[in-house]
Amino acid sequence: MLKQSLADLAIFGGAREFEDPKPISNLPRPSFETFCEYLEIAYANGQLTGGGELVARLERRLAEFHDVEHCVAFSSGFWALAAVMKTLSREGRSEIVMPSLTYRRMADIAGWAGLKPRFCEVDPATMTNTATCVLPCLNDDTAMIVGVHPINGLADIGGLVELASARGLPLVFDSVESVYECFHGERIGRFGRAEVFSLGASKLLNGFEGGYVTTRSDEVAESLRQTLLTPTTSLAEGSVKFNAILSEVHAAMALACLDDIDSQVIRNKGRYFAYKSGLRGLRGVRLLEFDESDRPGYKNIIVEVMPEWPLSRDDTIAVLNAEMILARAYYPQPLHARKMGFPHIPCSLPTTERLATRFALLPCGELVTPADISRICDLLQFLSKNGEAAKDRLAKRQTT
Amino acid sequence: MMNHTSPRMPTSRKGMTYMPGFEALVQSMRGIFERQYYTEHGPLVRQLEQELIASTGAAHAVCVTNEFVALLMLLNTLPDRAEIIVPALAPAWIHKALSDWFPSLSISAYDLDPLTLQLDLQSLLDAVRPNTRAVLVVNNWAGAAPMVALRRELEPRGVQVFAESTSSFGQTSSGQGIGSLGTAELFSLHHSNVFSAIEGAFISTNDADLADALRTMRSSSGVVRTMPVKKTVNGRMSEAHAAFAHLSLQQQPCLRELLLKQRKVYVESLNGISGLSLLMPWGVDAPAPSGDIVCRISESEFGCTGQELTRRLATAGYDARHNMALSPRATSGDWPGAHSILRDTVLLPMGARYSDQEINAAACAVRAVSLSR
Repeated sequence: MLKQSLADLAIFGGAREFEDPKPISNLPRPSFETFCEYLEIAYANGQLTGGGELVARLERRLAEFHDVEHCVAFSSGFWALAAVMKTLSREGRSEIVMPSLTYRRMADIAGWAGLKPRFCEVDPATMTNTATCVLPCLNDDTAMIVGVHPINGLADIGGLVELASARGLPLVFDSVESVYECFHGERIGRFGRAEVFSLGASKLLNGFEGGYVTTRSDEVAESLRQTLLTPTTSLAEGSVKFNAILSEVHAAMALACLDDIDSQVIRNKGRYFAYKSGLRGLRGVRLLEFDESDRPGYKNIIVEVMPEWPLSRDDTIAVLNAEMILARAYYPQPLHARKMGFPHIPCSLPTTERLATRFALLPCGELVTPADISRICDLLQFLSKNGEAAKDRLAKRQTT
Repeated sequence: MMNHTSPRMPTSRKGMTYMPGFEALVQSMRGIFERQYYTEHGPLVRQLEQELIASTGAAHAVCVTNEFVALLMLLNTLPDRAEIIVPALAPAWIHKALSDWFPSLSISAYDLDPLTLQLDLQSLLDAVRPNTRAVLVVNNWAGAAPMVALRRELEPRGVQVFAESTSSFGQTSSGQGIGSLGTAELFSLHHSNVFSAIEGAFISTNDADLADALRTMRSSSGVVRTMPVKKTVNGRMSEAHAAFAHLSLQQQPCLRELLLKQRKVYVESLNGISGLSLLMPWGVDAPAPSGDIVCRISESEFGCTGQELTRRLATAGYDARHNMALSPRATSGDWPGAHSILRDTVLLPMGARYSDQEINAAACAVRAVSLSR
C-alpha cells in the first residue's frame, strides 16, 4: 500500500504496511522431508544426543565445506567461542583484543572465559578491526586477538595473520557472518588458529541452535573436543570442561540446511538485488554493496543513513518498526559503552561511537519476498520526500 | 567367574533414553516448520514453562540450554568472591562447573548422611560462615533434603538455598512440589532422564527478581523485566527440544509405571542376597523410583565394596556407576558420610529400552559377584 500522507504512517496511527513482521533474521527453512530423513537415522541408531552419527557427519561435511582438516560442533556459537577463548588464549595473560562494534555478547563471552576485553577501533570503510586498529592494543598481557568478519565484507585477514604471527599471539576469527565467503579463493574457516561459526536459526545455516569451530590444527581440534563434558567425565581429567553438546536433532536440521545452502544463497542474492534496484537513486540511504570477489552469502542487508537523510537512524528504525518492518540498528550500542559486570579495559573509541549511530539492518531472509522489499523501498522513498515533516511531528510527540 | 547366559546390556545405553514414536515427533517438528519459529523463546518453550510451573508448584520456570548452563547462570547471580557450600559428594560435573568457571567463588563442603543419602543437616549448618551466600543441595536419587527447615535457618542469614532436583521431578515433600522449595532449583532434561527434552534444563523459583535476572541473562527474547546481570549467555532452549519435552511429559505416567515394573524385577531377582539393600528415596511424600535402582552394599556381608561390585559389573558389560565424585574441598578432612556413600552405593541399570530379560540378566550378574566371593 502506498502511503499518501504522514497520517498513513503507522507510527502516527495509520494502518501497518505489513500484518506479519518482516524480520532481519535469515531463518532458512530446508526441506522438511530431508530433515526427517536425517532424523530417522538418529532414531534408527537409538541416539538423540551425546556425539551420535549425525553430529559426526555434520562435522565432516562442514570441514569439507570450509576446506579444513577439523570441525568441532558445539551447542551454540556462544559456547564455541567461549571454548576457543578458554583453551587457546596464551597462558599467564589476561587481555583479549576485540572490536567494540560487534556482536552484543562478545565481551560477555570473554568474561566467561576469564579474560579482560580490550576493545579496539574499526576501520570506518570496512567496519572491521584491521591490523592497524589492533596494533595499539597489544601489550605483554595480550592473550588473544579476535578478528571479526562484519556482516558485509571480510576482516583484514592477511594483516591480522601477519600481526599475530609476528607477536606470537593466537588469532581466532568470529566468522559467524561469513560462512559462505572466500578470501583470495580460499574458504573462510581456514585462517587463524580457529574460526567460530553459529548454527542459530537467524544464520546462514539453521540448526535451531548450534555452533562449530573449524581449524587446520590437530592439536587445536583435540583440545576443543576435550572441553566437551560427557556423563562419565571424571574430575581427574585436568582440562576445562563444560556441557556444550550439539544434539542429533539440531545436527539433522543443520545437515538439511547444508544440503540447500547454494539455493539459499541464490534466493538471498535475489533479495539483495531487489534492494539494490529499489534503493537506487534514494538520496540519504546508502546500501552497503557486497564485494562479489568474496563470494558472499548475501545474508544480510545493511544500509548507511547519511547526513542528508531527513531522520536520524533510530527514528527511521522506529518508523519502520511501527510498520512491522523489523529493521534494527547495526550495532545499537558498542560494547565498550556498555556496563560490564566483569573486568575489562575502559576506553574511548570515537570512530566506533560515530559509526554506531549510522547503520541499520533491513529485513531479509526466508520470510521476506522481493515484493515485500519493493514495498519497503517505496516506504523509504516516501520518507525521503516527507522526512522533514515526519521529523517535526516525531519531535512534537516527544515533547508532549 | 560370571556364569549367566542372558544378554548383556551395552554400557553406553544407561539411562532412560525414552524414544517417543517417530511419527509423533515428526508431527511436532512439522508444526515448527509451519510456524517457522525455531528458537528465541518460541511458543513450545513458553507452553513448556507453563506446564513446568503447574508440575512443580513454583511461580516461575525458566527453560534453558542444559543443566550445566543453568548452574552457570545461577552461580552468576552470586557476588564475586562469595562463598558457596556444596556437598562433599556430588555429580562430578558440578565440581567441574565451580572449579573451571568460577575461580573467584570460595567453596566449602558439607557431608552427606549415608542412611538417607541426602545432606547431613548439622554438617551443613556447621559449615556456614559470615561470607556464605549460597548452599547447593543435591536431592539425590529421587529423594529430598529438608529444604523448608534449611531455608528457615539460612535465609535470615542471607544465604540462598539452591537445589539440584532432577531425579525428584514430579515428587512432593511435606505436601509441596519439588521445585517450589528452594530459592531456586535445577532440573536437567537430558535424554538420560525420565523427563527429557533430549538436551535442556529448567530452573524453577518463586523469586520474581531471580526469575527475571535469569531471563535477562538467557537471551533477548522472553525477557519480562530487564534486570542488571554481570554477564549474559546463550541459554536458549530450542523449539525442537521443547517439542520433545512435551512428548516426554505426556508419557510420564507410562514411564513411571515402567520404572516400577523394572524395580519389581530387581526386587524379585535380588531377593535374599546377603549384604545388598535396595533403597527407596528419602524425604518425599510418596517414594517412587526415579531412573535409578539404588543399592547399598555392606562389604562384610556381600563380600566386596560397592565400588568393587561396580568394577566387576563393568567387566561383565553393565554400567553401575553413580558418577558421584568427592569435591576438591573434601579430599582432606573427615567426610564419613560421603566416603561411605562413595564406597557402598551402586546404581543398577534401568531405562525405557531395557527388557525384563535384560534387567534379569543384570541382577544375575550381581548375584554372580556375590556368589564368587
